[in-house]
Amino acid sequence: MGNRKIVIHRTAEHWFGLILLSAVIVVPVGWIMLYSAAYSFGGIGRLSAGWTLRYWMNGLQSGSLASSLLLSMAVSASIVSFALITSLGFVLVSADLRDDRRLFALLLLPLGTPVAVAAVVVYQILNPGGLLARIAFHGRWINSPSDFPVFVNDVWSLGIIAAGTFTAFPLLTLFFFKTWSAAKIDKYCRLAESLGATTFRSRIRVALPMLLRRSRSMILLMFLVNLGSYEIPLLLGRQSPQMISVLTQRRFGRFDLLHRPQAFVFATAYLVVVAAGVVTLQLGRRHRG
Amino acid sequence: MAESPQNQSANRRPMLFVVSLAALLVTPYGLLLLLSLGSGWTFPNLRPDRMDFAPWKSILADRDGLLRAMATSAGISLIVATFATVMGLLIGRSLRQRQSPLWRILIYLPFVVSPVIAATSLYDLLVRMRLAGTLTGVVAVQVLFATSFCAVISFELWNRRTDRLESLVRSFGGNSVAVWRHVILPECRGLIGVCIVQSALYSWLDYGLVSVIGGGHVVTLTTKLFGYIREASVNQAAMSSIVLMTPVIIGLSFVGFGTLFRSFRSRTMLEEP
Repeated sequence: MGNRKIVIHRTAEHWFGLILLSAVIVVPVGWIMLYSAAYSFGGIGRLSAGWTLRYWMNGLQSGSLASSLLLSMAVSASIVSFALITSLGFVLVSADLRDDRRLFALLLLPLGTPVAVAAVVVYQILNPGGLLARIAFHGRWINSPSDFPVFVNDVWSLGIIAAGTFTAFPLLTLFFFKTWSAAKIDKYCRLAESLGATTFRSRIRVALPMLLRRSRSMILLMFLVNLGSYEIPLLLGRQSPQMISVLTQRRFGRFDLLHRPQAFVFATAYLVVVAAGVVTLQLGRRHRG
Repeated sequence: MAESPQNQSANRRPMLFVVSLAALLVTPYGLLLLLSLGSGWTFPNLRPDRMDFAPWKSILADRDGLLRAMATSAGISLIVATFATVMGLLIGRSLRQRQSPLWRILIYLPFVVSPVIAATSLYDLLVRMRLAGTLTGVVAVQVLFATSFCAVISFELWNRRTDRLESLVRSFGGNSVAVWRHVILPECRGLIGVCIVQSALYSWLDYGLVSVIGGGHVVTLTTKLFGYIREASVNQAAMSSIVLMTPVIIGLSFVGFGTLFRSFRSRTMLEEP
């Protein structure tokens, strides 16, 4: 096996790289995981009274852990689905624009928008005193801001979903355009068309499954990023239930030290959920070869 | 490609999409720009109450330390980018020599932890090391995440040609210094650029880590922005959003057009027999 590959020299530099990896990445992340797990079981901390399951039971029984995790997953899944539908729709309809520099320049603007700025803009547009409400007022559809439907800090997290979709859309679109070129989907579509398929049918039956198949890990990654997002739900979310990052940070930030183990229960639960997702991602990748 | 009439009609349809997409994408930024140009924005007005350029004047007068915050942000991102790029490159390079997938999973570890949750867990440790609320502490935690990005980038985008060149230099008796000077630095220029831009932008945009680790003592552009939002000063928030975005757009256009150019060059190289 080794003979046909390039001869690789293991020098001191390579060992140095591995030491760096351990020191800079593995040890701190290991610390984060162990520390939050130990704290959540009461093993450590200023006011620790010995190992206990109390905080976990508390989190599970009050329902705040389950509702927060469910909300985070539901919101993240909706963001990914909306972004997928819009970007796939756009790419399938206008695949011939994939090398267009003007389109790239246009997508650069939302692509370069920090999540915090996206949250600010969405808030200014959608809140009851925002741009849409003002336009509605001038159009005489509403008489006061209170007539305007609630889109931010609302029950359905519409504001969070709108802001998340806005930031996810350009990235997914560029990714699909790139995949389209890399997988030479054009050729397969042309083949299907020469065999008698309509353009619409070739796009739906050939291009769409090919794109989806190749974007599985990207979709999972995007799901995870939105699952842990902080700035957007901080501005656009409700007080209760809160998304998991905001909830953890709020519990931790309180001056009452008794709340801290609770914060670490949320942190640990989040780590377990995401680790399961990442392991799936890596396993799927190895399976595909 | 032959230009048939059918093809032309197919070209016109996406133009409509592009125009409506453009309107949808540009409107929010128009609003930001408009809001940043004046002061106040009472309810039924579509424009700010007074168009007096107050937010931009306050930047120049440096009334509330925004220039200082910008300098802090820029300084932190430069330091983070330097450390993260060098270490990420070293890590990515040494991982190329390992066949076991275990090592590869390790560089993805920081993706598992949400930054805010990581900062929360590291806070107590940093307090004990007297680094909480300091610039050094913020840089240290940001370097952890940025290094992981750089390691992933340099591991995934590594060019096999570089390995072959390194092998060549080594078989002629070159040492590590020669390898870095004659192979890695010239061959991986694009890769290094992507790493620097990505990690600098990550640090420039970070709010979660700075707010938790910095604890209000480290004032950056993002914490300023959230301060304005909390005070409900719409115009200041719009202005600092624009200031925050500008380097990102510039950096991304460098990286983006650089990648386009590079893919073009490698395509022509591949076509040679």
